[in-house]
Amino acid sequence: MTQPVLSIEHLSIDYEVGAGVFHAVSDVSLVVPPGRVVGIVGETGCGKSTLAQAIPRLLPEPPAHYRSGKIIFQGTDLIPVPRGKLPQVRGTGIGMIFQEPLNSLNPAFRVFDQIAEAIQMRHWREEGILPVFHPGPTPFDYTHRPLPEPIDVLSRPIVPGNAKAAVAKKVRTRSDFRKEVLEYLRLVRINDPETILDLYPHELSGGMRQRIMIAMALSGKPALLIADEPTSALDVTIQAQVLTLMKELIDEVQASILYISHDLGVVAETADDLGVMYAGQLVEFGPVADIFEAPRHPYTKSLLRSIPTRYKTDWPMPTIPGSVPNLSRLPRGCRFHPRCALAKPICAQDPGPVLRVIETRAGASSSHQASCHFAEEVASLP
Amino acid sequence: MTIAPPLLETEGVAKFFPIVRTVSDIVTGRKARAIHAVDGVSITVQAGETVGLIGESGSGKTTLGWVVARLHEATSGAIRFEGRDILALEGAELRYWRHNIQVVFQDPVGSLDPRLTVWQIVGEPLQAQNQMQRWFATHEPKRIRREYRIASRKERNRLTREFQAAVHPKAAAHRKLTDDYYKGVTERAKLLEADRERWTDEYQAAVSPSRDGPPRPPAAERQKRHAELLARVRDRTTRAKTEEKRLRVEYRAALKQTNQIPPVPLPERQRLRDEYRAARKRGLPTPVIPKIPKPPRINREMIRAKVQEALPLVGLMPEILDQYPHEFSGGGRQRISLARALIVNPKLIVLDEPTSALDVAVQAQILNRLIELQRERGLAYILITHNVAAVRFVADRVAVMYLGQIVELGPVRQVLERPVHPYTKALLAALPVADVRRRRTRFRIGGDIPTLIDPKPGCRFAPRCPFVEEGCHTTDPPLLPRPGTPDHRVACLRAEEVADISPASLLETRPSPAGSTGGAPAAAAPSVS
Repeated sequence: MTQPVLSIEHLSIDYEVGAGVFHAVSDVSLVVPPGRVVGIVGETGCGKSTLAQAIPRLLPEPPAHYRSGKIIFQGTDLIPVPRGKLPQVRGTGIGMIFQEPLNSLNPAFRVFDQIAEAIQMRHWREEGILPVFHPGPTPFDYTHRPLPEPIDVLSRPIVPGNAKAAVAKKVRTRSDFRKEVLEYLRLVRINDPETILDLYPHELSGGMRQRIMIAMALSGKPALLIADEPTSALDVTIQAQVLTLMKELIDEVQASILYISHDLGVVAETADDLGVMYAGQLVEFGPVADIFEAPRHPYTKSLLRSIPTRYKTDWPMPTIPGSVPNLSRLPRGCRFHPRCALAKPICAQDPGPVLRVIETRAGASSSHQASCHFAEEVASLP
Repeated sequence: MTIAPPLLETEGVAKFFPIVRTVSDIVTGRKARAIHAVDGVSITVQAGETVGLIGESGSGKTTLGWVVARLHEATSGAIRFEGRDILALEGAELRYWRHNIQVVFQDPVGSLDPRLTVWQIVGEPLQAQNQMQRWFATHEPKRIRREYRIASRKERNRLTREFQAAVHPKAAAHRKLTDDYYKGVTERAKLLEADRERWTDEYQAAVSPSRDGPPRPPAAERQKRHAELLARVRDRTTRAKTEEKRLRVEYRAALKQTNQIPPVPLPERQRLRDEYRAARKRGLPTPVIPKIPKPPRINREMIRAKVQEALPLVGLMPEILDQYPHEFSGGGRQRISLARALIVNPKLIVLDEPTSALDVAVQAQILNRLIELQRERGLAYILITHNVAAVRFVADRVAVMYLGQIVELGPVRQVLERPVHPYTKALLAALPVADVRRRRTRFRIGGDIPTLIDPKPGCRFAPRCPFVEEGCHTTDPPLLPRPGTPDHRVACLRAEEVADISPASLLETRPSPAGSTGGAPAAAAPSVS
């Protein structure tokens, strides 16, 4: 079996703040195999964004505190890595697409400079000018084009850095980057990329900005791409365009993607595997088709039911009674038991197994897992 | 039998936000521009009904909600609430009227003052309403008396004028002719001036066009145009003078004619005078001055008690009175916002994206509560959202907005199940559906939303529309009822031709690419140990 790009083992993260300790992520285990899209869904405050930002260790420490577990990226655990070495893994190792494109693009630089910087860093890492944390297997080259020839030693490098080293090795001009940047802009289906290059982020629409973010993330050729709610801030038709783009890129790039969203519809359209999070725990994990067809955790089932699709005459809409528990005062036993229709006395005592494989009907895949005592009975819920 | 007017009725409401002219705009002679946020929207809301407004951001749905609640001033159009023109309200009268429409704002964080506690936030409208009720109790009788005084003065003046015209018919006819003659003179002078200004502008635009216009014509051409302008103005003035002369002659002849009118005989004059005196003495019927009880000034304890009663309505505990908004989750804040709207017993609530910031499960709770409240109190809602699923669940009728205009309006079932306008189809096709089989589908509508600054005529969806025709770019499509279903209105020139095309046709399904494992869960991932 091939080595997974990312494997998270029993990861727990707490936030230690004045008001107490918040268990944002508790005992989450997850595998992202190469070339597969893993979706994570959950409500606000279930820890999905904490999980996303914990992987490239973007969380501020403190208040975040890695209590236990491992984040194994291409065979190496990232948690003991010293802070100074972390930038070496970001960009070319793990790429990230954030939710708010306006907040994540630098307003003082043109589109060209933002993408060129990412490309420059990758080149420097490939050429050994900048250290690479862990080489790992070469990621799939999806541009299918050779790199531009280095010319004109005296020209100004666009990212001032270690100038001596840069001159000694290879220096690229703005025009070299221009070609490559245009390539990435075309990859994300931007019409008229020559004009877009010279604009500032505030001059672009939301959909365009998100495409630029995607182009930036892809231009580092990361082995793992983390998309943290990439379409949530967009309008419906623009969201559909970006989603279509993401789906096409998933096929073209064959990258491993961790796709985080609160929208079940979006995840259903993009992901191969799906993880459902509730109160910091991964309560269900499996192939996306299996989960939508036959959810094995009462929470997933009620979440699927509470999507409004019918008319006023069918009032009331099914909801989940109660509310999400406070992450600093979690209930004993299973975290969902106060709201669960299947809850039995054991649920209040024993938290139950963490993701056990569910034996489904014959022939079904055996990778469908849930953390529930009564997973087999979930199908009987309305 | 008269039909009761709808609760709310808007007629061609428009809201333009002017763009400040920069120095360079003034130098280059660029005209003042405006953002057409809402452009000619006519919609009705009946009592107890929910109308959904859906559309993307920038479609003007929030602006429309604000205009209806008089939080923005409409640029043009009319809004009637229970048959009353609310755009004419101002000052204290407007403040008194405000309790009829309340708004639940979009952002549950920004719309609650972080320095106030729950009872202060929810009780604030109560305080204002109490103040206005006290104002109304003292001022309403005064207003009725003042209006009576003004009306009776007008009536007396009218009677006098009629009496004078009746006893002196010759003078009356004389005066009417003179008035009409001078009115005509002024009007004709205005027309002449307008023509002259228009032609001068045309000439100016032709000889010295602005920076982004066509190039400046050569000197010979410019001179020719100047001569043309002079000739045109001279010709027009001559014609006006001839006309003036003719009318003056006619006027004098008519004046002479009035000399033929005989004076009214004395007994008839005396009879008219008696009638006039009697009518003046009678006057207008005295108005009924209502006795409005003045409510006592509301105090802290009363507000707290009322807030305590209102909180359970929206599913909040009464114990939270002294907590601050930051102590609540998004759903809790939205409930506080809703309680604040409900506490003054409005007839209509504008719900501006009430569930967009919330998770699915919480969203379902709030929507259920909204419908329950509507059934208990006969509330009407305007539900502004981009969430089609929420509209489908809550609304009775739905209006689809695009760039400030309504493109489709009708009963929810009809619009969402058999959409006619291409934009509605695109919107519905774009929704991500929790269905794994949609993995291979691609959305085909390209392009971004165009600008709202001085939009060009023609259908506003035309640049993105897959069914576009030539006429679409030039003709504004009117919002017309569909034959057979008068409730269902569509603004599309090709409505009947595209009516039967399903939204799914805006998606294309791609075959699975070779070698890809996407969508085939059989090639399963290694399981987590």
